[in-house]
Amino acid sequence: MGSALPAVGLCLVFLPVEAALLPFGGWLADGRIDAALCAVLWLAVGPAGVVEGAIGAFACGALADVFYAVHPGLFTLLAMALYALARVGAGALEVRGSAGFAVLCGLGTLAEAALARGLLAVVGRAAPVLSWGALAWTTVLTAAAGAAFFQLLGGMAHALEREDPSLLR
Amino acid sequence: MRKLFRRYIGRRGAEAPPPAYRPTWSVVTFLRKYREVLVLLALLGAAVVSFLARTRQGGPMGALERPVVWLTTPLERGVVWAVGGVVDGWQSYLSLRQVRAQNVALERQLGTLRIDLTHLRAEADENGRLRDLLGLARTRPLSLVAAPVVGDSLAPGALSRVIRVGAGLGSGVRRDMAVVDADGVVGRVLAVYPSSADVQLLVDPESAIAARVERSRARATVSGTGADRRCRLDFALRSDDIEEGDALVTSGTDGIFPPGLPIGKVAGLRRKSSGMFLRAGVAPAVDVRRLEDVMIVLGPKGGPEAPDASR
Repeated sequence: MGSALPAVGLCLVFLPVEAALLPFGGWLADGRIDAALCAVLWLAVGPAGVVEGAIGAFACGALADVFYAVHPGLFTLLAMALYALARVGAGALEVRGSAGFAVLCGLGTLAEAALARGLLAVVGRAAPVLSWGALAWTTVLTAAAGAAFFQLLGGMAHALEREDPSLLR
Repeated sequence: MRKLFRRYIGRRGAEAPPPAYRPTWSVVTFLRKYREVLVLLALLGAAVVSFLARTRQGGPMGALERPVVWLTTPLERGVVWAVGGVVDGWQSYLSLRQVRAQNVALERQLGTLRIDLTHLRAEADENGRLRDLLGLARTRPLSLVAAPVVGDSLAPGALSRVIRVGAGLGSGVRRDMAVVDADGVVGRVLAVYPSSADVQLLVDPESAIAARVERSRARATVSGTGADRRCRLDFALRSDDIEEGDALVTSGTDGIFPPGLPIGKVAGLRRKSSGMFLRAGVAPAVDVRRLEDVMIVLGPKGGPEAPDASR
């Protein structure tokens, strides 16, 4: 679980901090940094295996559900769906750097918005559509944060999985 | 395949397969081979079931939510305290320049308000005596608990307008309690945790509050739209006496909000020539973007006292 822990830890710290900062962040308007989405996509294209990535994505989605308070289980399902999609497409995408991951996070934000609307319609909740401005702002913020998270999570996973030098002696 | 068929099935009275033959498929090998896909599908299935089985305002609290909220609420409180302190300090510094002029103006206002208060106390006493004479029950004051806002919903407003406040089960807060501030109705308690609670704001798309026009006593419902400064007036009859700018207060018929709490003012009234209901917006009395502390209505005074959550 060495690769999933940084992603879940990121959600556990970043989501409450963002929630607490929102009342002060008037400039954010309807824009948000979707840290849970970045974590899930990193699990899909990063060094995590399928099983630990899936468990990590489930945990990230469940954490997002606690802080988004839209519909219980919505973000868990979105996280799993996006993880599965990204995992399937990971072979073709070959994301190696921060820039590529930022683009992936931007695309993921758009896909998540479309999926959320579809899923809420399934449970009979006609969710008002996000304004294009808010969606674009969220996409830009999430992509920019994704680039930073990519480096951060990569470093943390590397630190966690580094072999004990004493074993090599 | 043909060879196999002839070898094992085609010949009547054929002997048992030679010992070299072993079935290559079993449940164990299948599970081993497709372990990763199966785990992924199982978690995906669990997510689908969780999504379909739970509704927003019902069902037991998820097993994960309680420890997560317990763990993260102190972090949220800390961030709010630190950032709030910096913002307050900066604003205090900026306002120092105008404080003398403001002080003079406020002292004048205080004098006027003292006189008004004296009149209002006299009127309240008179009102109480008249109610006693008419045999009506006196309005009991409300028992409130103060709670600081410690977090906002991360979902964009169009989807959800929920805030987290720093008072929970330990402070006597329960689900569906009314939440107010000095300006009027803020919302109602949606979910309660040990030391915090989620409050559905009156502007949430799923919020609905039974209301009454203060001037004409016409009844309607104030529904949220997801926008910060805009609600919607529903189920107001076209023939009702409602005008632009009319003040709306809670009617108390929904069993959540005590009657008489300010909700907002009618704005953008449109009365069509046909149809049963008129169309109007509502400008909420409370600015939901500037909430720092709220009061949760525990019930009428005289009930069990609850500790102050702001301490």
